[in-house]
Amino acid sequence: MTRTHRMIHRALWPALIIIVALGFTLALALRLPPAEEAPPVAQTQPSTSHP
Amino acid sequence: MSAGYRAVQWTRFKIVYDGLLILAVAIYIASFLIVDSRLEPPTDQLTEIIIYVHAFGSATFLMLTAILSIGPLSRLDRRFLPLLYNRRHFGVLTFCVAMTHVAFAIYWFLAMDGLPGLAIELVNWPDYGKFIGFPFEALGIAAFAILLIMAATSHDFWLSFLTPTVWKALHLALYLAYGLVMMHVALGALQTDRTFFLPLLLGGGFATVSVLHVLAGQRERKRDAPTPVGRDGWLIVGAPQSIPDKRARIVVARGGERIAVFRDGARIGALSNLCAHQNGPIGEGCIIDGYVTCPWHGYQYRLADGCAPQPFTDKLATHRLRLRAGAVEVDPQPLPPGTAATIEV
Repeated sequence: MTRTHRMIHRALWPALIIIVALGFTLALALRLPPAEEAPPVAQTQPSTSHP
Repeated sequence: MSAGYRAVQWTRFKIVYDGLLILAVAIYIASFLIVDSRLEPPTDQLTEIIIYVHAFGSATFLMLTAILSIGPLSRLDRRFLPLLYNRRHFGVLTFCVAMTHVAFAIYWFLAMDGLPGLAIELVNWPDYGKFIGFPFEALGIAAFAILLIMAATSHDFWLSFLTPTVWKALHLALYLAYGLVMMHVALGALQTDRTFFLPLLLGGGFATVSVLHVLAGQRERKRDAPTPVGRDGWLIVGAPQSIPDKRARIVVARGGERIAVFRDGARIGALSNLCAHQNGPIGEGCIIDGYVTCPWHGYQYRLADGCAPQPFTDKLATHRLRLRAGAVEVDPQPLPPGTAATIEV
């Protein structure tokens, strides 16, 4: 790797770590509480929860 | 190595490497499908498709984690170098698994007649200002586009066409793709999944890759410390015997590229530390059959003049050397690639 490539690596990783770690923590902390158990429905009803 | 570029040359090592990779991926996906179906039996076709979406999606994330770990691992411990050798095949396989994940996701939308809804969601601009509620599919599409570009340009033709420096810079986009995949899952599946598996997979994978990169970065920073210089600016390498036979000592000029000073018996030569193939660290290789051999992919060069053996045309820059007061010294200014410059000690 060239010196420039190594410098980009060293600058990029800490930035990526901070941004992604913050995003991941917030996504985990701010997620909505699970929906209350829905009343039983007919078993033929298809699921529409997002993949 | 290549004369320009040529079709993929299969070796036994590559076949075994690819075979083991495909086997490992198949075992993971089969295990995921079996365990997930047992824990939460699918109630209809849609929930069955979702299991496939998650199986291929989590496999993609794990494969990206492994690919990004190989680089720093091989910097920290040479025993991981064989994994680096065929990393591009690993990358293309990861793209194929990601493509299957995308195909199952599209199938899911088709099965519930939801593609128009997806299109509306993707162009609902106010949602892009939200954090929870951000259209996470857009992050996945962006990551997939990067993986597609990287897989399409993985062949040696593109490496030769773009030059190693541009090609390596382009492939740095994998870090961005990894971050996008993390947030695609964090803002998507993680919002509804209440098991410990997903946070552990994401957090554990990202922490592993991050720690490895930080450790490897610290080590490389130390290696970039400038080598002592004499009064006329030549770098002082040390006594000839301080250079291990058939191997190199790496020296660095202030602000310059690394130089690999090799010793082959009584002969000493200095080459650019950048392999002409992918800028691999030549100085961490050794001399095999009289040729300096790159540790990454086995490209070879003559110590005398930095030229690859016939019929190959690759050349490395060489550096002038001299012996002064019992110490080998090297001129930090490179000579034109292919210029003979060795000394006998």
